[in-house]
Amino acid sequence: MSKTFSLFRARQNPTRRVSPEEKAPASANGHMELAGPHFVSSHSNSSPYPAGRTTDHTSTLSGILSACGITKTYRKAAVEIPVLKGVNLSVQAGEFLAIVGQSGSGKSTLLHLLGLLDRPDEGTISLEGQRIDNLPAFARDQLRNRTFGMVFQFYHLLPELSTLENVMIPLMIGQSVWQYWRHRRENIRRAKEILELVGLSHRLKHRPRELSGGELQRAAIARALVNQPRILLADEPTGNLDPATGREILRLIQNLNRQVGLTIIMVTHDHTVAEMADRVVSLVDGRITHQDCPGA
Amino acid sequence: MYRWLLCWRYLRTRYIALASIISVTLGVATMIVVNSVMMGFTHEMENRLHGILSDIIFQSRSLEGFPDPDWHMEQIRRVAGDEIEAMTPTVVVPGMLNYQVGDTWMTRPVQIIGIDEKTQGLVSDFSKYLQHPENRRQLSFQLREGGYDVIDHQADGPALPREEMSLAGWEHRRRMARMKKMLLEIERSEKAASQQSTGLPTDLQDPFARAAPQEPALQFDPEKAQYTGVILGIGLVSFRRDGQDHFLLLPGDDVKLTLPTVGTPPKIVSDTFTIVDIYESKMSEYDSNFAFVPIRALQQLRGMVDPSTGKGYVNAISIKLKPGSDMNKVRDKLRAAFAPQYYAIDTWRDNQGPLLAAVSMETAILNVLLFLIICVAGFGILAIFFMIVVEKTRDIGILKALGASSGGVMSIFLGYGLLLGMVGAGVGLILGLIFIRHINEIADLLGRITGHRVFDPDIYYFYKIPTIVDPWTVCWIISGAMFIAILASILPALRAARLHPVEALRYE
Repeated sequence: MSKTFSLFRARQNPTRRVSPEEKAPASANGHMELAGPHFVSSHSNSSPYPAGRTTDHTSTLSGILSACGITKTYRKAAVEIPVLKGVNLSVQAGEFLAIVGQSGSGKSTLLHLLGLLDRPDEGTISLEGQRIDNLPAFARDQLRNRTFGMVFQFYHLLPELSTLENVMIPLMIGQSVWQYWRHRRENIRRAKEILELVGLSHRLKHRPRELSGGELQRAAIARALVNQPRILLADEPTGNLDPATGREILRLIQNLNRQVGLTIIMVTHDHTVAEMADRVVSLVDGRITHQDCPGA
Repeated sequence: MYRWLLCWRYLRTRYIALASIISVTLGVATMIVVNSVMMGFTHEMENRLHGILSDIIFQSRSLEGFPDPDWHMEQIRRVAGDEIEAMTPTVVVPGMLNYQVGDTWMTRPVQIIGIDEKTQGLVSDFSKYLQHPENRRQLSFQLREGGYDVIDHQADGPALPREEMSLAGWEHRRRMARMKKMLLEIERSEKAASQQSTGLPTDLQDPFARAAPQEPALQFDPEKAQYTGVILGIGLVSFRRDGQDHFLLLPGDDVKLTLPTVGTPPKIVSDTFTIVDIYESKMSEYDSNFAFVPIRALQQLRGMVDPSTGKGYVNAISIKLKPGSDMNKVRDKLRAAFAPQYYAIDTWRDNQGPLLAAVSMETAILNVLLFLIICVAGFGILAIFFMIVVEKTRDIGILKALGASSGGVMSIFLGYGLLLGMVGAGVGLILGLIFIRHINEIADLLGRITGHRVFDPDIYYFYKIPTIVDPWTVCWIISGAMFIAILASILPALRAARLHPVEALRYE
């Protein structure tokens, strides 16, 4: 197993099942060579949450992240558009889940709700058994910063910042100015390692406008990974890329799951893309075809 | 940390925002320049007013004055002796000044002030404003032989020499007397010649000759003697054109002063005085009004001397206080001790209240108007910030998706406003200070370009524009500008903070 993701591994749930693929060597692609002396010992602590907030780990048997009876309706003046109509979903730790559906099926909305970017009208979202959808704003912000990593279809890098700075943004958000300056060197080293991991070590100083689509998405993935999240949420990560680059990005995501055990929830409308996931659920008319919520 | 990084990057990349703070820069620079110039003027004016007037003026409400100034001074010392450094009695009376220029008699209204030459210099900067160095050391009402200043000793810049003053003094007096005598002799010889030609006696040629007053037997020789000395304000004896002073009268010339006597109704008396020096306080109000004469001479002329005691009446006592004394406190003590219906007791600030209040009101109004310019700039920042928030909607969504709090997003834009304010105010401060440093050169340049003198020493009596940069005022101006910039960024920052991350990410 590569040392590269030892950090990530340490932060994954220990109950995660180990698939035979994990033992397989990394992809032949140069960018996918997930080897190197990274993140070895400094983060051996297993929980990213502050003391007292860690939940009962027995609940993880029902999944690291679960959504029960989620409904969401968009309202514009008197018009109501129901998007999600009682979604139940459970994601196991270390699982690579793909949510497929047609445009307008509500898959991006579901991802946003799971990533705490929005609140459901009804239903609950739980992380390791602890309800998180009703947390106060600061706790939601902290979870978004430390527990979830988000990758978007349109990359969404900040145009004023270099690639390295873009990757460092989650670190900066999660630390005070004093903390950041105290750990500045370590932060930079970590961001560089992540960029090297995704094959962008030669583009550190480049601005987003100077990068190709594939490079932009790699940088976005590096940004999502830099804070060692427990769950990566990817919204159509290949939707804006040519097929070859898309495959490259998917292999990168797949390797993150297989080698590190990172829990990944990917939304896509493309069934061929979804096939790379461990499990695929379909979202049709605001409902999931697989009922995967034990409590539902 | 990300807040400051983004603020800094926005500052470096959003030039439109920099354009919005140009008005802040100009507003700050103008406010600094205007306040420095106004403060310089005020300071200069207050210094001069205080120099001319003593700390406290103890006045009679009547021109008749009050008797026995020594007793009054004793009483004043008894009330506030610990705080009094010096006192001098004065007589102030309105009058008329007459002098001859060529064949024309000129008449000017004046304030005739009788001063004690020994003590006047102790209560005010009176001597400092005289033109003879010896008089500046020790005031005397005796005409000096010569040596009056040719170059204005108070000039703080390149002043044009007053060549005519090199003739002033006894030499000028003798020359003028000789010339007068010569003219008189010519006139006499002409008269004698006309008498011989007609063969008629003088009284037939001129029927009023016999009625004309006979010249006194003992002739006053102006070449050797002088009348009582008078010190006239420079505005009374000269005029200024193109920065050059032109003198109508010089020390050594004689003038007539006409004034009312005491008593009801007052009579008009007149006497001849010899100019012994010229008073130049650089305050045109005083320089064009004041005529100083020895107090004893004025008392005698007005009939202010008590024949039984030989003591003179005065109508004011000028009081100088010891350093650190509270003028208002001493004034109040004196007011309590003396009957208010007879005595008016004021500090120099009370006396010049309307003038000082007018200057301070002018400064305040200018500050309000200039601050409004900065407020207008604030609206510019507000509009551009709204534009930037709209432009950055997606970035705001990303930051929130990455865990940035609403407060964090808000602080990006508040910090950006603060940075813009700092840059605008900082550049304004530098511009303002450079402008003040070269204000005279700039005034000259503007004068050359427009053809009109921006700062005319003919009007202001200053050769240089006086400026004082008060650090506290500068701090207030800069803080005000930064406050406006932050205030203008609050609304856009709130809007950014309230953006829903999902809507922001979907924004196109």
